[in-house]
Amino acid sequence: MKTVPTILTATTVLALAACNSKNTTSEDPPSDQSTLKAVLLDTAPEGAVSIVEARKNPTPGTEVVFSGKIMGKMEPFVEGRALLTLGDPTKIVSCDLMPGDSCETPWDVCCDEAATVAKSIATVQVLDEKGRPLKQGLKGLGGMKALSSLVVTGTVAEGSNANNFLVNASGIHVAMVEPTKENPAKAKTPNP
Amino acid sequence: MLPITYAIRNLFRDPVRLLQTVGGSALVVLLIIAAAVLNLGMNGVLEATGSDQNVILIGAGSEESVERSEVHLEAESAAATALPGLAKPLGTTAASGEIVYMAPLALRGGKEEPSLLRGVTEKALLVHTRVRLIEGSFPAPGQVMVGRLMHRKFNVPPERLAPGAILVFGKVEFSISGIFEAPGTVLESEAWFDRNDLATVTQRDSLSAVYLRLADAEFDDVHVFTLQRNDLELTAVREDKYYEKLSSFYAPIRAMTWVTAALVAAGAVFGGLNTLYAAFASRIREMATLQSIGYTRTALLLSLVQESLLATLTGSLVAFLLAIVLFDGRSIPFSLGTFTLELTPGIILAGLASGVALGTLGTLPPALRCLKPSLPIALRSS
Repeated sequence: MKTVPTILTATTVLALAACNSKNTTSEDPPSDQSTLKAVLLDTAPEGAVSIVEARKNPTPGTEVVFSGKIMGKMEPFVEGRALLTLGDPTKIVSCDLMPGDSCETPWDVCCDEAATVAKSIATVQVLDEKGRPLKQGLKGLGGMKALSSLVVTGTVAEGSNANNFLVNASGIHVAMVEPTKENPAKAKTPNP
Repeated sequence: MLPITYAIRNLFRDPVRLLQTVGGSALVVLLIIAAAVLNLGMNGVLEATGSDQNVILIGAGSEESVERSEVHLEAESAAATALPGLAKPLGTTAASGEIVYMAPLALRGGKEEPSLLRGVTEKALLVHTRVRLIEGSFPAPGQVMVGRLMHRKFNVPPERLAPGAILVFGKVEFSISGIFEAPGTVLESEAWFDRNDLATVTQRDSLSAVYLRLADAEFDDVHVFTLQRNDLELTAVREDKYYEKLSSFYAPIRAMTWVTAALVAAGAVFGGLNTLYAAFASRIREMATLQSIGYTRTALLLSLVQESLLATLTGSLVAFLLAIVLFDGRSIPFSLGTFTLELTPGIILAGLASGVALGTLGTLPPALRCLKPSLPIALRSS
């Protein structure tokens, strides 16, 4: 009569194995960002201008160095693609800096005019050897997240024009991971 | 066990009650079938229309309605050239810029009916892969190609919308160049015009959307394209998700059909219970007599359920016959197109299960009450 205990043991082992594999999936480590880490800069490149200033010469191939804040879209990052939207903080204001605003997505800059937002953002992408955005998300790279301040160096990409500013990044410096409303001086800086 | 002939004979003891039970159960089963075919038909046609291989580029902010969307003409060529991995049947990139417009359309001299008009080029056939021309030709300027179910919108026989017939949009006449089919999709109720014609008549200089068919490319690639071209102000939506969302718009109507069926079914069950309580109450002594000559309570209960099941299943049979005549193969027009009602095996099974449920669940309480009194009391009952 060893059949029943054997079946029970086998069922338990199978059930535990199924639970285990589920846990493994949910705790998968983030995808390898080694290729992306190569574009991370420890120090800010010299001569950074604002996005609006950089947009004045949208000729593809032009070398640019500019700074901005991750904002300007409801979803400034693309999951699984090395591409993000950077906004010019001198022209558009994230809702977290508005007194009394409790917006849950302050990076969508919903308080600014759509036309102003369109003229004050840049799309930054990191390309693979085929010239397409790397199939890795930029979120979390160097600690960056929505509202982080970045300094980007790269070249203006094809498709850019007076109404569209697309940059192929060769270097990204995370200047400030998370600004604080109360005291911007106490803002967290990226880990070395 | 009591012989089945006993149950059959008992059925005809009270023909009025029999007619009531058969009619009531037929009505309930018919309504359940109606609710099921309507839901399945409408859902099915919207789900089948969208393909997971197609992505629609819609104007940002108009994600819920292609008709309201405006997309720059340049978006079609920009997407076709910038996006590697799009399907290329016959060497042509499957990117089709289209104008989608809801407007009244009429047969010459006939009544105007709201219709979905689509301004297309030949490239539309590369993305809407279920579309097949079954008669005539693709529309040239001054012509229109109609879906094979479009005649249902005008409530006319199909011959009235044959090639050569005239359709009037605004004050402009278009001759029908061909008929197309796109089985199981809402496209079959659309009218396809030459894109330039529709742009002229509707006085617009923009597209409604660009439809892309993916091969190696992924949805995320198209999403990335919309971000790389912020100036075009586009949003990428998977076609199947778009129609899924449209389908949810009709959810309240579908829910209403189920609520109506449920209310009528509840009414029928309570009515049936009332009738059976009265009918079985007058048979308490008869049941007691049968017990005294040796039949068990279970056998009597089974016989009463058998009797009811015979009536409700006859009703279900009547409902199936009515459903075949009234519903099967009938096409129903709605705002987005036309869907066809189909009695699937699943729906027939659901109807049958309802009939069985009515026969058993509706009978058990009065039958148990009838068999509950002890034998001496039951034998003395009037």
